[in-house]
Amino acid sequence: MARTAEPRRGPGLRRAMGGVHAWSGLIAAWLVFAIFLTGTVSFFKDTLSLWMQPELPRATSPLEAPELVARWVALLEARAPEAASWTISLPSEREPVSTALWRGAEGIERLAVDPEDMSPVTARATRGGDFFYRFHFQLHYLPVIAARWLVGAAAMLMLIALISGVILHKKILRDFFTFRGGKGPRSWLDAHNAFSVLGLPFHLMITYTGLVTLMTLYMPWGLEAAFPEPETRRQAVSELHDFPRVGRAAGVAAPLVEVAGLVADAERDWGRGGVARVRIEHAGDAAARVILWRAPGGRLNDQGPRRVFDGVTGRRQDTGEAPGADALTHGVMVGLHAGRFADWSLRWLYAGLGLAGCGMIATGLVLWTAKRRLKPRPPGGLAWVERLNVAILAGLPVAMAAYLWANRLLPVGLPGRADWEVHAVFLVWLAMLVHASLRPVARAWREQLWLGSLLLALVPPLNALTTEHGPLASLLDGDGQRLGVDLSCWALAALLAAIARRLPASRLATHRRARKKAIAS
Amino acid sequence: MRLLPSTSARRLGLRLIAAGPGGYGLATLFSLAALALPLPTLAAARIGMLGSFAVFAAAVIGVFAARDVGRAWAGLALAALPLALGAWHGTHG
Amino acid sequence: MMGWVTPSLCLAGFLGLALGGRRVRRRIGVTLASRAELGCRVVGVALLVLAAGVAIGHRGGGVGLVAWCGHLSLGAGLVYLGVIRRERSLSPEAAPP
Repeated sequence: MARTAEPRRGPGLRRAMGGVHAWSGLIAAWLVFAIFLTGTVSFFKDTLSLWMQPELPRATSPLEAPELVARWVALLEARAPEAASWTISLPSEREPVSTALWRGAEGIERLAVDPEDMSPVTARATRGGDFFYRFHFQLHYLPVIAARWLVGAAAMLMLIALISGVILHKKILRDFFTFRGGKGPRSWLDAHNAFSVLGLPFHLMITYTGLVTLMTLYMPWGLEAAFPEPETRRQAVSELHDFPRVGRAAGVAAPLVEVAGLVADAERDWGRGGVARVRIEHAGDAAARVILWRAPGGRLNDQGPRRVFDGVTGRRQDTGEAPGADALTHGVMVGLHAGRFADWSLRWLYAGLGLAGCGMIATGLVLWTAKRRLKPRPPGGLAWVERLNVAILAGLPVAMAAYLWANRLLPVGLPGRADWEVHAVFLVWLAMLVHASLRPVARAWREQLWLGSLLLALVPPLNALTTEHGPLASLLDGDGQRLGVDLSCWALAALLAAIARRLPASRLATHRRARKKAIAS
Repeated sequence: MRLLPSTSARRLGLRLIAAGPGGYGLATLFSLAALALPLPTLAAARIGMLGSFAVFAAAVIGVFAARDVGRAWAGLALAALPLALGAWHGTHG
Repeated sequence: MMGWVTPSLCLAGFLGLALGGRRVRRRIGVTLASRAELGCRVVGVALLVLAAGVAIGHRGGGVGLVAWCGHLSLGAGLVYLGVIRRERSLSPEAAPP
């Protein structure tokens, strides 16, 4: 009777889901591992950028926001009067300098100042934490849109691997603490289960919301059908992301409203430091507009709230209404993904869960190969999967550590310096691929993990030698942001070393150790 | 020399097509059908986009959970029917 | 200070749930009467619910729930590791290489 039921049940369903889990997991795993690892680092993107620019001042007592904005307006009126809009970022704990962006004759121009006295700040050219952030959704060296599709396909496969994994192991959820499933090397399976189940809400959330952040690219058909005109569609997309587009100038001169007053009003409602960004459009024109964005701390909805003002009269233009349920859901999903609402403790929780995700993918991959290695006739190509595992799972951390090294070692005046920091990442990664394909697999694992550990462990000393912001100096200064990066390097070095120590050096060494134990007893 | 792939490979291929392009097609239909919701257009389009990935994932799982390829495609078609009606209504209504 | 309350409650809650499971107790060599077993489970669930209340009270509905979810993962992870360590210390030869 049960045999005629539509969906498979019991062993049939389990086998099918096992296949889906193994193959969707394998195809996506290498890319998703890179996305998870660089994405996890991106939770600290601003802090990392700060560390990578040791020239930046700490600005412990910045000007009050209204005063700072007033000075910015004066500066920009002289410097870029023709720009369609100025976007001013106000300083925060993680971004202690204040910056302005505008579109000049030669593309986007950027100016950073010390918010204590408005003196211009120059720092070494670097992509900073932004490189990892961009990489995690559009990779590098590839056309942006194609790369985003690639990332989206990997995320979709990941989502399917997660769901099929849950169906496959329904039992774990009920009986988690004692779950021991299947065959295959036990400790890898234990680790894979632990990383997956513990972080399951996070893994599902981060994967789904990741797809949502780029949904207008992946699933544009509804918008295209509802808004067939390109112009109205652009307007709809701008509303969808709650990111107002810069309008046209009227061509009639009119004095700009006193923006500082608007900022002061907003700070009264949002608290001190509550304004994160100010955009001034067409300053000095009758169509001028001022937009204030609230700092994201403590609020899940990443879209808004913001205030829009007429740039001449200072009259509020937006209704200030709460967003609809759809916009709220969307904003919360994006907010959950980016984690900008998180204070330091939640941010570390996010990072820990992100690392658990990396652990889940890494152990899953190792499990996939280990299970097939046990077969009497291992499938061809298995050796290459094993080598790619090494080059990506162990090689990427090495390459990422090399980024920090390049940041400290490349001469400050080098032309194309920021690009060379990034090239260094991929050159080292390529070297890891070559190394992994030449060495015996077990040795390649250990050597790359130890190399990564060594590189990371030496980042703080290197930092102390090449800058004035070594860990000790940061500690004495009370500079928690920069110190945090150094300490994290040590923690990650210890983590890689701990993994390396747990891996057998080779099959021979495993035998040797077993024999030694037998002699000793 | 065999020109056609073996039946099991063909079945797997058909299942993969049902899961990939089929699943994405179903998700697209869902995002279009959402336009038929009695909501402002942008809200409806947004709901369609937000939910489409869940539909895609469910379709893939469903296709592989089905007992055989025929049922997998039949299930897809069954799910697509009301969505296609909604999509027609949403884009012409 | 408040930041430590939710994770501690989650940890204690999962400890209760773990001790309330017969198979966990067998693995870590603990014996309990069946009434104590039920008590462990009830207290475990109650502590987890309490943790949710504290998190929401402390951080507000949205962020509080997110923090609670994260701390659930953290607490369960620590208990999971604890069970494995305890089991290995009881029977070292059963430990994998």
